Amino acid sequence: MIRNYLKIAFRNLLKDKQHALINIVGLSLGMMVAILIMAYIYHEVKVDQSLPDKEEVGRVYRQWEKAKSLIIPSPLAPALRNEIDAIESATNIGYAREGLVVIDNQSQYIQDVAVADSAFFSVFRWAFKYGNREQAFEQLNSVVLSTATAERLFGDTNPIGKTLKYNDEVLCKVTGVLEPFEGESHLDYQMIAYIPMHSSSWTGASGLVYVRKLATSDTEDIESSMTAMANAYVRQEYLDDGEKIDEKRLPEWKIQPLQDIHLYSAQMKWNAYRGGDIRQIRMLSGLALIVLLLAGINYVNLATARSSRRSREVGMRKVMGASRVQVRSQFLAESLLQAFIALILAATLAELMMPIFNQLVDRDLSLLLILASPFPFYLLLLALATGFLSGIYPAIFLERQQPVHTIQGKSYKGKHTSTFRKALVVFQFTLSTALVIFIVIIWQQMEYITNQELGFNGDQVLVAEINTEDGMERLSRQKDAILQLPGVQSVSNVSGVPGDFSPDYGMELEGREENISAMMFFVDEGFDEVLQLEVTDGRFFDKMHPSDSIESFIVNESFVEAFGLDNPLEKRIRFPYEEESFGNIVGVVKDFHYRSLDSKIQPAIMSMRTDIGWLAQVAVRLDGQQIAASIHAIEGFWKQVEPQHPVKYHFLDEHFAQQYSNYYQLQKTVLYTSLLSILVAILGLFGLASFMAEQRTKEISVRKVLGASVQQLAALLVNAHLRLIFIAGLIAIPIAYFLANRWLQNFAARIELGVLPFILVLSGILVLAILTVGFKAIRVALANPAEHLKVE
Amino acid sequence: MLQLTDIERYYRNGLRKTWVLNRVNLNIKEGEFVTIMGPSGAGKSTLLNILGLLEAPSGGNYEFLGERVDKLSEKKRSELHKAYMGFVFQAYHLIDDLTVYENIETPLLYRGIGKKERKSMVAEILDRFNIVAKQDLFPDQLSGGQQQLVGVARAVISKPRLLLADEPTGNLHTKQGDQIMELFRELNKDGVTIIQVTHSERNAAYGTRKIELLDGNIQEDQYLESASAL
Repeated sequence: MIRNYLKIAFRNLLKDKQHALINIVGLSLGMMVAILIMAYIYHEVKVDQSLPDKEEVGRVYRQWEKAKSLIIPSPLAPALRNEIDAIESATNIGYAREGLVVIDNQSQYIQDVAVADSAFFSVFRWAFKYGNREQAFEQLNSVVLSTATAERLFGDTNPIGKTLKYNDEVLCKVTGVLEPFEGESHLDYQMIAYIPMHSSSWTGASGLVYVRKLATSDTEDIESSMTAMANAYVRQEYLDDGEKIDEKRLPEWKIQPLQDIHLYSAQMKWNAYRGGDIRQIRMLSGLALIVLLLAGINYVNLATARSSRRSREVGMRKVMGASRVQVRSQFLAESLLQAFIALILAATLAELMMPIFNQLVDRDLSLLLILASPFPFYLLLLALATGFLSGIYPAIFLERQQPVHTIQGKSYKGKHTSTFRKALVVFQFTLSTALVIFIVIIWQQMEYITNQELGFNGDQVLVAEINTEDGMERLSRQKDAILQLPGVQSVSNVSGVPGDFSPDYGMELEGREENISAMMFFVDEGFDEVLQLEVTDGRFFDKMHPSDSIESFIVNESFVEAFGLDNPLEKRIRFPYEEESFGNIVGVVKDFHYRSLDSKIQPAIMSMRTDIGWLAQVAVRLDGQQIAASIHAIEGFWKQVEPQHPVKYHFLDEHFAQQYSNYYQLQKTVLYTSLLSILVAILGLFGLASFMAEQRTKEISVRKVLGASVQQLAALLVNAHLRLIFIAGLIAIPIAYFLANRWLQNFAARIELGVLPFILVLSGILVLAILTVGFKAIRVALANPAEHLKVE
Repeated sequence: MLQLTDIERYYRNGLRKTWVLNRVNLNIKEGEFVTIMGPSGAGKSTLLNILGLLEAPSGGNYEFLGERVDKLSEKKRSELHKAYMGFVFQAYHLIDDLTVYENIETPLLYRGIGKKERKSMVAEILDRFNIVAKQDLFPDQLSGGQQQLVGVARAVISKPRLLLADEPTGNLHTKQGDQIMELFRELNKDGVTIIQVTHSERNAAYGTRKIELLDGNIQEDQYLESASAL
């Protein structure tokens, strides 16, 4: 029976190739998107799932009313170990994306390095290939390597007992090599070093904290006792400093389970690990569903429109004894067959599109790699679901028809069916029009943002990182030598540049009871020149004023405005823990965007205090005439600053633009989706229009004989469809407006929503529809009427 | 075999009812070969549709093999079709996408008959109807007469006890029509009850009983003794 169904389905497919092509191409486009996104989700949910410790281990974060932070004060981990019974162990981890390793005077960078305390392997009970887990971190200055790194550094030999110099500063002994992880993990460190770490007070923050709890313990209980304990320490510290505490500013201390880390950490502050994002997965799934839905609608529309052709067959089958279920099965067999053909096409397309998609989601996926997994099973499920859902309505619709009507040639022309079809077309075009309007607005906003006056000039500014304290000291002494290098115009030693995370400092403003909070930049006197900042009041730091380096401050205009300073140059500021001296505000700079344009410019302070700030970067303005020569010279110069560290640098404008990578990603995603959805919708419209045109061939012939012109006839056919597209456009406008408006709220600086994108897109789509429908309409209108009339 | 009592069929046209069949009473016994005749619009096809359970009467009683069947669910009707009835249409109504062989085989598929048995049944009927050579052709490759032969073959393959034919020769030449009628008579001799609608006296002469319909009423109902002599 099933073979019979398939045979007939196959013949029907071949009989009307255009119809089959529209269905299959549409379905395969929808399925291609679905496959790509399924592959992505399949990959994402697997991360960290094969870790041995996933039940017991978690990561601590602090939760305030609005923000969550992963950077935890260093005293927490020892306190957890000592004071909370349900915690078996806790470890401080400092994560570095790159760390320098020197062996026999050969230096190389290693990715994903963890600097940890001795408790690391009592939290993570991983298998060791060489060495012993319990003893690995018995002594300070020990490192444990991943198998890959061990092979890279020491070849195939057992490296236990060998030494390396971490960051050219600390001599460490290799005490262990890890077995490779099964599957992907965010903890896939290439090297774990137990070396002295920066520590902080309870009110500060130093690094990540991971804990292992007793299997029997309850996470919520631990969280509440941890919160009570930690906040008690924080209060005590405030008291000891003689300060008042605002209870509202105390966080809750929480634990994030290991298996949630990959997907649910995107909104956490200080999340150095670039994991997945459940919101992105949801958005992508939504978009995939939309494209798939549009393709499914095409199927339903074309199948019901063509039902009159099939209804006689259905009637005949019923008379011969086919039950409803059998008729339904036959039509489902057709939709399933098409869905499976589409699946093969879609999988091929998906593999071809994978490079583009990988770029979009920043992954390295391949369909071929997951063929051996249960993934193909999900693909079959996808085809089954698509085929079933798009076939079930036409099948039920056809099976319902009364055989006596269909056999007598009174084909079923239900008025509500054509209304239903029209509604579906309107729905399709509403979705795709809304998406297209949305992408136009995203594009406008991104153009606007990238062309905004930033208040600083990041072109031709090279920023290099300094890795060691020695290096910082050497650089500050030899800074002027950089100015002698070819093409260098100015140079500045800074704690951070625009686009970096700038820390929030609590400061005392003379005459104000409460502390104020402002972003802090530690800079030197070259900063304004390198960034081409404009000084609007007073002066910038200057070598002529030696006291600048110990007591002066520069603020931005937002600072002046935020704290209502009439005469900023007469105001004085100090770091709250410094008892004696207030420092003068010596100048005001024009506001510049040191963060992305989705946030407003906050009050900012600049200071030259090298005893407080870490001037870990150097920014160099080049003249842009001889960039290659300049870079080469800087690389050479760097040997004097950090002999073992090859220089790492980036250009400021590119670095700043990276903050928008999420938005660019969204822009691309919506662009592709809207293109696909409009393509699928147009494809469906074409199919429907050509079918309608054929249906009305006789009517057209009669009208033509009666004297209608080709234009009149084409208009007759086109108008019916255009009305629908127009209605869809009208519905799409408020939807797109709402979507775009909500998205624009992300930005502090944003475009005004004008009518132009709406009008533009709507008329664009109307033109597209006219071309699609008109092509068919004109062909029918041009046909010789005699041919169609004499048959009857 | 079947008994119609006060069967009515009307269409609502706004507030007015238009009667197609008006209190028809009819009893047909197993083994009869009935011809329903009458001018266009007399209600012949409607009567045949009601008899074949393709259409429900608006009123009255229809007993088929001793059971009320005028208000059956579609499922029950489908079962009765499968078990007892075969249909032949004026326009043949073969399924265009199926070959001759497949067209004839389809009713067997719906009856869940095994592959081997289907094969032998189809082969037998192809042979009997002399269309073995055509079995792999599609309907549009056949002449009208050949198509109707296939139509009849398809209708009788499942050995129905009742064969309903609506103008089975209406689209055929006289000679082709006679061939079909001969076939009907043979089937009737084998015990199949046949009810056909036709305009042709020539065809009616093959039957054992003739019913004249006019404006939804049975005008005349006569048994033809001479039928077999023809």
